[in-house]
Amino acid sequence: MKKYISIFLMLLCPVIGWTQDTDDELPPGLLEERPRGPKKDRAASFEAVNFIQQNGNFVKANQLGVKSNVEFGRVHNLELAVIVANRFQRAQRDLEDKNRNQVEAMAELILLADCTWFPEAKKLQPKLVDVKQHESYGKALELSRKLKEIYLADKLDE
Amino acid sequence: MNRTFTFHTGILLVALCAFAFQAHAQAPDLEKRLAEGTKITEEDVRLYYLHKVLNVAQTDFLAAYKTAAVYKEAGEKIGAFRGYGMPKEHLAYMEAAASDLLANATFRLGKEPFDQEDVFYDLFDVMRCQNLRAGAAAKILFQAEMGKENPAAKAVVDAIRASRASKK
Repeated sequence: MKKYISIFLMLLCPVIGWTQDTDDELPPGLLEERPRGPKKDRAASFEAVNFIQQNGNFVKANQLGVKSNVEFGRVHNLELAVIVANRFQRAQRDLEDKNRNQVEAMAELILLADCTWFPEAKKLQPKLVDVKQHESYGKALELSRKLKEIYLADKLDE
Repeated sequence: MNRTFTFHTGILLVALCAFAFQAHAQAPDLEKRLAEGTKITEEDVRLYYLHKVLNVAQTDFLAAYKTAAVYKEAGEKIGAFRGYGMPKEHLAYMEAAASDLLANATFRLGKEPFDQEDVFYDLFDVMRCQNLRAGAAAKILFQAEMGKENPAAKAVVDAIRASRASKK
């Protein structure tokens, strides 16, 4: 007997749910007035991706990405994820490369650590702590500001 | 009932252990084995590819370029993956990362506050990956700058030659 009651309830519940779930009973305009998140600018997020792929310009991409309100995870594909991971990893390795200009390597790391649109930026924080203790940190910070200006002035059609 | 339960639990545990072991299986040192001429199996090549080529290509395309050569040599030597060919997913990863570095180096080329020698070190790194399209493009660019007698390009070439000579 219990078995039949269970089966009956299993069949009945969806039917009750279906009959209750009608938008017609809601007050007019309620659906339109529900709170929405900030508007997403998909075009800006795609432009950000173009800056990465065409000029390797992560600074401009970050600016556009943050402005777009679209999460990086929503626009990236596997190849783009590999590009970002390679670039952030390379920024860390350049600090240890004796052939590199150390001030510029630090400036690059400062810039990338500030590109918070990319989740990888968090991984640079421990290195950034080391950089801040370096004797040339002041020079690197100054250079990073100059480089940022150049990166932000970049236009794809040039 | 107890026997059946123990039997099934046992099978489940074995399967779980095998899965965990597989996940943590270490990549064999194929380079060493190739040099020594010791036996290499298809499973060794597969593990090496997953751990030392595909995973590495996701963060360091230059390192992956070196290990990919070992993988290719070992795979061809034992005739691995006969029938359906050796996996080449890593090539797309390396190509994407190398192209991006080339694009960034091209962007920085000739712009004053950027260290021009660093630009040519980046170009040289891409150029080392000769089998990639980006590698060929970087070589053309580097040679063009050498033709224009760019002092930074010349300095990088001299520094690399000097470091190679000191190693010999």
